Amino acid sequence: MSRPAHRRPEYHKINKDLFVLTYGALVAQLCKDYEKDEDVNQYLDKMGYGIGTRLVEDFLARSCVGRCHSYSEITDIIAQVAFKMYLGITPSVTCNNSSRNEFSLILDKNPLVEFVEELPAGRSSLCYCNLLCGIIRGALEMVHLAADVTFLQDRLKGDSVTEIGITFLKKRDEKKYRRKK
Amino acid sequence: ISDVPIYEADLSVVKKKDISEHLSQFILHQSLDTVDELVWRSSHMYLKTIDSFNNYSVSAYCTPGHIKFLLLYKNKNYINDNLRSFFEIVHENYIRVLLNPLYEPNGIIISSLFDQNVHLAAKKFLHQ
Repeated sequence: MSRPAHRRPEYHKINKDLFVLTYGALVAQLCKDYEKDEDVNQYLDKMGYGIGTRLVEDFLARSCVGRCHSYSEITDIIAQVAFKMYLGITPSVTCNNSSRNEFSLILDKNPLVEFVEELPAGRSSLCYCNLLCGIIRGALEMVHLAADVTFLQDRLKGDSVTEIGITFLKKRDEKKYRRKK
Repeated sequence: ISDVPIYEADLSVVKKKDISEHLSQFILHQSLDTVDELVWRSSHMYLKTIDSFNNYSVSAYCTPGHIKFLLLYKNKNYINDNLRSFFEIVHENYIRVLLNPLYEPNGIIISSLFDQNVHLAAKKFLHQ
């Protein structure tokens, strides 16, 4: 038997519950380590940043996306390719301002919060999925795009939807070759 | 594992108590010893009615993690199937509480969804 000539990097799938519960254990441990919600949120963002800077290479290798020409395209790729690849969901994208550098990802489903029905008392400002914001921020930075990424709305906090806001900070340099997460 | 309840609810249809809360707690606590013995003799989680005091009976259900659900009821001859179904729904909802990563095992259950579902189960299986 001959080996297949060209093999894409393999997808190793793991059980979704295992992944979701592992993420939950991470957040729970941070809650034990830090009393203030802001500290937990900040740490989650930091950890996400570390993941994002590394994950973007994996993403670009697997997805083979081409050059992006606008922030709007970049955000679309984050929502339709990256989220789909890593979390199996496709958030919808809206543009929040006329200068077209502020976008929102509206998450209809969020697998990470599947077992968390409500935030415990005393943790009302916890951004449970803040890791995601750090990941997006880290990934963007690795391709030379500075951005602010935060949760604008959160179903766990009682809002009607979960919304991640991405604000691109620096002006795009037209001449730079840019591939995006 | 302490004997402090992690959840309590009054599931009566008419919320008029004819025994004091202390007495109900006392009866239920007394029955814990019986439960502790019975779990090792039964291969089922539902232990049926395990104790009685005057007109009151206690029915019990013990999860594999040894969390005990105790139901104190008065005078009624419940069909075992109804009681079992009630406990099974409580168990299912308890598992959901346990799966919440932010819930401390053996901690007080504050989930409003759990409380709601327990009351709904009582309505369905016990208020007939």
